[in-house]
Amino acid sequence: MWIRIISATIATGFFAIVFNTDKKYLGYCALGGGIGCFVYEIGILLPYSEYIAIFLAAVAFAAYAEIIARIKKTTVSTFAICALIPLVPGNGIYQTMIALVNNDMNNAIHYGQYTFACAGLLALGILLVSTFAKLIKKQHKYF
Amino acid sequence: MNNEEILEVATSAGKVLLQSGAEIYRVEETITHILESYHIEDGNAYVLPNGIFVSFTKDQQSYNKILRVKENQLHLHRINEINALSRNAKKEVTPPALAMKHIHEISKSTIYSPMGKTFASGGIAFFFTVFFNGTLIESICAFFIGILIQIVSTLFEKKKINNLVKILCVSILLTLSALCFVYLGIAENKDSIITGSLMLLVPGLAITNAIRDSINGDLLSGITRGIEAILIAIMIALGSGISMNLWNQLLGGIF
Repeated sequence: MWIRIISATIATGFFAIVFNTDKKYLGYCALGGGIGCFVYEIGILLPYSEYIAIFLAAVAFAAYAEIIARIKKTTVSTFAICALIPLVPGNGIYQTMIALVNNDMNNAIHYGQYTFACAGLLALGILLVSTFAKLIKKQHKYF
Repeated sequence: MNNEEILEVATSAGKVLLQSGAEIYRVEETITHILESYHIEDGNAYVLPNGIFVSFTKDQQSYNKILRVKENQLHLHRINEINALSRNAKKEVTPPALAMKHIHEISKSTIYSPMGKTFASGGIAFFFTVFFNGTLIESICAFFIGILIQIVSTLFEKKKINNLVKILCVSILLTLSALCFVYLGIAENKDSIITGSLMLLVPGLAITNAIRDSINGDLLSGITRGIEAILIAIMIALGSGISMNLWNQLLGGIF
């Protein structure tokens, strides 16, 4: 579990480099990925469905991005775009494809549905946080 | 102050933002903000993911500009710089010529060398393979695949090849090279290598922007970018599917 969290954190940091983030924000971007992954791993341990874990992780990293963007006076997307990456269901896309290649329709539908649900929940989590952030935002217009 | 120049400043700031992958509302707000800082109150901007329309009236004359924006590449620091510029514009009025020079500098600025980025994408593939429970040797294989992917994508971008075709080709290349590593007996498990390096192609920008545009009411751009994300995902899946199938057909399904 800790290996997964640490590797996700470092990978997010490298992603920030590929996305041309300022050097001073690299650490914060990496931390965002780590927080998302950490919440996800904790969520899996809970006796609920995996979808809840994805949703909670999305809410966590989106809230982190909103807060750190206020503190650092930059754009939210700087942190949100990078932190999103570890949670994207890349594995789901791949497993769906493998099942399709092997003519295994049961698994293809199972993984395909899982992938779509994960992507949708990620979107929902970010949507929720940024909508609530808008309520607080009014006085600062330019983030 | 020359109104033509002001129009030029506002639109080129918007262009740099849109090219660097900013959200629609940020581009629109920046343009009207810059116009306001030059005391043009009725400035209007309408922005699409690939075009900018700006118009305002001053001294009974109307000024318009339409820009077609191509080539999107994520440059988060350029977004930050333009953002800072338009925030400063409120405090003090810079002459349009100076602002233009500044925007031009921002549009050319880079932070990391191509070498650094290539190394970084190797690092991404390495750590995501670890993330997907890969062993050390598999991660090292993924590191080289990541470097290869970055080199090939920059080559495709230089030749101005369609983004979707680029992703399809890169995904085919990625899967084939991962299968080669397994076939040669260097690595054991192809799954973690492929998923680890596939994360490099994942449409993180398109997803985030699609959501943020939709929230802000720019449904048109939200839908466009959402479809972009779905198409990219399909291309990734298609690429790895094609090459996996081909490999199984040619080498008799060693998996």
